[in-house]
Amino acid sequence: MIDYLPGGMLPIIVMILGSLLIAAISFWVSNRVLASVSIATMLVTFARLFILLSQPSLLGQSFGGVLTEDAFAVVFQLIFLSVAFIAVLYSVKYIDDDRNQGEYYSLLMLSVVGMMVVAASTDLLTMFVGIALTGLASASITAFRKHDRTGAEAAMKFYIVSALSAGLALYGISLVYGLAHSLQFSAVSAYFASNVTPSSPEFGTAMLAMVLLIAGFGFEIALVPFHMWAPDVYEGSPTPVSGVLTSGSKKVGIAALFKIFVIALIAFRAEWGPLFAVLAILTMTLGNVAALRQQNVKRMLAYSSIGQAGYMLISLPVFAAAMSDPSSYGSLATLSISYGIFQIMTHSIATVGAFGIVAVMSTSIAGPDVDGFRGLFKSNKILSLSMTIFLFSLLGMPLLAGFDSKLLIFSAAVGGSLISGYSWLIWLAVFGILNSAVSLIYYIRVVRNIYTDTGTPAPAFRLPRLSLLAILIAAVAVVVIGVYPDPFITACNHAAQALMSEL
Amino acid sequence: MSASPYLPVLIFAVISVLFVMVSFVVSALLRPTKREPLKETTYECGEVPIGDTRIQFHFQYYMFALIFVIADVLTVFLALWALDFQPGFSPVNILMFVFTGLLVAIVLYALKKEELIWI
Repeated sequence: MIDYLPGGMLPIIVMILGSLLIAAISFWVSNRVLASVSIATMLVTFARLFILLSQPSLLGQSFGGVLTEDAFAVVFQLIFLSVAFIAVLYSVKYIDDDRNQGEYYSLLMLSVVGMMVVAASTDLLTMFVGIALTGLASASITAFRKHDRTGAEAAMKFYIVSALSAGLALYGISLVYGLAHSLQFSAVSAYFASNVTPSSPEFGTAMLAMVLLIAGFGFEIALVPFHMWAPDVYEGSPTPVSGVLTSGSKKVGIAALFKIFVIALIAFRAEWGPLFAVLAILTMTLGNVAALRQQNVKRMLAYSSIGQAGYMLISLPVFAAAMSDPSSYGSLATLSISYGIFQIMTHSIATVGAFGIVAVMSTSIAGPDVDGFRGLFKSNKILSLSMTIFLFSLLGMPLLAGFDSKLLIFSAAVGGSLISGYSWLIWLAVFGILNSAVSLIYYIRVVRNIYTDTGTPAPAFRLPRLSLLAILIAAVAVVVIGVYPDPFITACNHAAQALMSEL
Repeated sequence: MSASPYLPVLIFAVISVLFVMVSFVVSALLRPTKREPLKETTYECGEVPIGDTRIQFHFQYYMFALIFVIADVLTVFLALWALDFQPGFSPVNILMFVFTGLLVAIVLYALKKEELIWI
């Protein structure tokens, strides 16, 4: 019997109702009211998610066998919701002069609903529906300023890439269904574990499905052979939307990868482990090297987030290695996933904060140049300090969130390399650390510009209270996670355990 | 050779392809052929055609087509519901009412939005 309205589904339902309400009332009310409704909806959802997280008895409710609100889902939903919340706070001023403001908030929230569905899905098709919802809604708001040519171009590119990646992933899903006769992750996992070995005739089809799934979600995450669209799209979107795309949509793809590869395709870990290791090294190297020469800050952050996605991917090969040797490093499997989630969390918050500062400094689509930050310290101390915090956190300075997460994810790679036969995992850590050193160059360029006074007039902008609040929330979160990471790591551990319990 | 369960599908596919080809060929053989300049023009419901064939449809037609898709989707679900309808306050009925209400609200929203861009 299907439970038609379990309490675990309330966060998603509240978000859907809120976004529909905003679209409905958008004909009669002002930007301020729309923003308040959107913020209020998100606060209610936050409250509900925290209640779920604090009361483990409420977790794990299933909705018709397609969605399960477990700790993994709640932690990812909290990440997505925080990102969208911060982005909405600084959107209010950004879109003040635009038309169709109601649709902006509504679509932004609908894209978050899609992300939340992916995080909770226990079924390949539900996951696909969530990804399609996120893709459609975010492609539409990418074109929010439809008379801006770069915006329209970005939206077109994003739409085509989403369609292509959805098509590839769907083809992979259909092959998986053809083999396993089920779309449930756990059923697929059980089928592959017991019936398909490298010598069985289905093996080739299974590998084809695996490659198609990697390619489909690789486009979503902008992994390196599939990354070309990302900088153009992030540069051409309205800045708050770029923030949500880099720190939300990309992470949805990684959540989907975790669900598919850690649960459904676990039987093929010997095949996908090395593949993801190569992809991770390529992604982090190319992202960081390409970011070196970018003049536009949004483009630089786009390439930097491509590079960071490589760090998050480290958890998959380490997981594959740890699962092959459960006797000596059994807990490493859980920890590698947990540290991947922690890296996602810290990167999301720092990136959305950095995009917030870009959005405040210029409400045009293009955003400021790296040189546009010259003399920022003279005009606004709080913004300068916050930008420094965000960039240093992305870089991995001690006492900031990015340091903790990078330390943990690299140490997971080192731990995995101790397993016999997997000593090559050490290269993941080596390349990660080398790339962090490379990333110092382009992050420090912005920070140097902020504090050097070259006699040029300091950038002039207005700093609305809501935007300041958003940036302060993000900055404080980065510092708090950096100084006192225990509760956050514990939450990530619970999430990873919840994911592994589906095996 | 054992008859596969998909054999009827194959036969159906072959017949449906052949039907089109045969009917074209047969009618070409049977009808008289007389060329006239008027016959070569684009068919516009018997009128003398005006202007180019390639015209830009107004965006509003596209909007209406999109709204029509909602009705299409709704019909499919309502037909399934009607096939197995049981009166009463069962969860299925309530969910279908929510779903129908949602789609109706979306149509209303689209028409209201359309009003703003209507010339």
